[in-house]
Amino acid sequence: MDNILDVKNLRLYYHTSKGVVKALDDVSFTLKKGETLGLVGESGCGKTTTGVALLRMPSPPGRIEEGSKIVVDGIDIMTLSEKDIRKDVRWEEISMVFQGAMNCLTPVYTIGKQMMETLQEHRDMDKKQAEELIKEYLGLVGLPPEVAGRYPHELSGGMKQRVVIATALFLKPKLVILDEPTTALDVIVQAQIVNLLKKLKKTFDLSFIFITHDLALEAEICDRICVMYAGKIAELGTNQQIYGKQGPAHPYTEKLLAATPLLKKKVDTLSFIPGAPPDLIHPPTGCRFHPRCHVAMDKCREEEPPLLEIEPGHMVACWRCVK
Amino acid sequence: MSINENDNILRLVDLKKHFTPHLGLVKSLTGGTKKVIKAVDGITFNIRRGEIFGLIGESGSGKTTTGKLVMKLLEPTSGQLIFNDEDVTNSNKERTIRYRREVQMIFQDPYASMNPRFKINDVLREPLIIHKIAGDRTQHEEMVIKALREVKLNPPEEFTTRFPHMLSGGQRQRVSTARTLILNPMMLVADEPVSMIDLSTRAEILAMMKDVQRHMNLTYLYITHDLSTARYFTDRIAVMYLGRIVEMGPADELIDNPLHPYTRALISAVPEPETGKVDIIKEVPISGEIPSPANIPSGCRFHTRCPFAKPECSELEEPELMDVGGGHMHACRRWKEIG
Repeated sequence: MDNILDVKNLRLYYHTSKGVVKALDDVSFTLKKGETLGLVGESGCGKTTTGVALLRMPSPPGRIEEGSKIVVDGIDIMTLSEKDIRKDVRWEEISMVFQGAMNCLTPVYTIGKQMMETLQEHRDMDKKQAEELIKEYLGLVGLPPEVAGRYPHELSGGMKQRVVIATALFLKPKLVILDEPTTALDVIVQAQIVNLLKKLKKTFDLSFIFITHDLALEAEICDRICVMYAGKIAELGTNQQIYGKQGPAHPYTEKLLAATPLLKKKVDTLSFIPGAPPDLIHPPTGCRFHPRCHVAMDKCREEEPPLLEIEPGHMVACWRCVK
Repeated sequence: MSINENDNILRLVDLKKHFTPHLGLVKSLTGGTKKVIKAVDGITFNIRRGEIFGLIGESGSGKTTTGKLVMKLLEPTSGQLIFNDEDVTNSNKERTIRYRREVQMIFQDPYASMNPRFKINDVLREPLIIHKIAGDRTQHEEMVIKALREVKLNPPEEFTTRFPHMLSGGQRQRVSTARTLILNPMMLVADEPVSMIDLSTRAEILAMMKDVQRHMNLTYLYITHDLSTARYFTDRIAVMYLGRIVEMGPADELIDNPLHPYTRALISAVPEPETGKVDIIKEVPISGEIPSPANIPSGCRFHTRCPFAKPECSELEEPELMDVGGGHMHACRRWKEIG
């Protein structure tokens, strides 16, 4: 068993009164044990939706459509009942650090009490044992044990983020989904958290899905990068294939990279991608990126490009890459 | 417009803002002492006419408080604010209103800075009404169209009838910019104007702001925590730490050749899209987090986190900004030794 996660033809649609929003359309990827996969793209491209779908908890009116397959460590979670998912999958197998999670801590409970809730729900443990475990995990994320008795407002943003990470690791999951874990933090704290994540990954033998819109940060932590656009995968490749000398293959990835300001290189003008991601009720015909693409051809407007492997491990959905 | 080194639009002279928190009943009866929060603790800098000045710092460094002091939204505890050679620190109400017309602000959150019940036309007309700008409705509407054209919302007539929720984040930030331009200001304070906008459109908004600045001869104070956009966008940068400026200089010079250990740490922590870093645990040059402004360390206030700190750094007086030539200033006593 090599793959911790196997996602096939994942489709998640929101059935709204205005029509069906195809938030995820035929997304397939795998994740090897011990690997970090980065999901990048603009807001509204399906990054967070993918994360939530993997926990099988789309927010209504969202629904995971028939034919989608999510296999976690050999178990097809699409066939499980909600009760079993709750008991055996969420937090036990996959956990998630939600976006802005540090603002999700209840202000009226102490950190220790909030962490205790997770344990009481899943484990038969007396209070003493649980308290010991909480202290141990706080230590693992670099916090002193006194933090258990504090309230969220007494902690800084970086400390709260550490608490949330500790809570996500509590039940020893194999896969952790991190949704923009450092977005609200300053650069120095961000670097500290990235280091912490790298260390924890080794200690616990974890696999990560790292969601962010920051391509520069992604380069520092992810083995493979998955670029999403309008609910589909545009490009999927190794760190080397995306950031290496030859550059990415998909024009969208290319444009995203060009729009990232670099600190150590002085540029006079930054390029940008005109327009915005499309409305997913009526996505554009053909390639969904063609209205914003600088190299679009006639074929791109008519026919949707398939996700093809152009070199080992490097998948691209672009007609220009089809020979 | 070329920038003249001696033509300053705004001068901040030893400006301080200390907050004294309210002590509860129990604490005041039991003899608790008030802890003064020194958010801005003596900053001095000049903004030259026609330049983009960047103010950089982590959360808690006092950069937003400085922005509020410049906007006269807060009264400084001491120090002076000199605008076009006129001391406006304690100006009367009328002068302050006129000052706010001349110095305008673009806010961070484009989703919260507009009344959701106002159409864009009303959003842009409101400053004209508040500042009693002469003109009837049609004249005002012409000004609205002109401002929208300036920020490249085309065709402007189509946008005037829309509500804010019908616009994207980038479009809203363009409307925010148009709202400031309609009063013909001399200077704009922009507090993190692109931090909530998608990366792909950030560059577009900054480019638009730069065009407007050149076209209308404006001066910007750009407040941010993002060094990468600051390098691209600004002419000069000042780095703040715990209420003080620790380094200041031309943008390229400061980033290519930082002298203060704090600036160095900030620069080295910025991720770059390069390969071969995944397995490396990058050394973070400074540990911990920014101390509380209610409890500022003695001596150099950075010594508690500085990797080069010696006993003298905490014992001797706080270093003042020293000029090393070319307008590059820093406040580190040991800068030569740490080379």
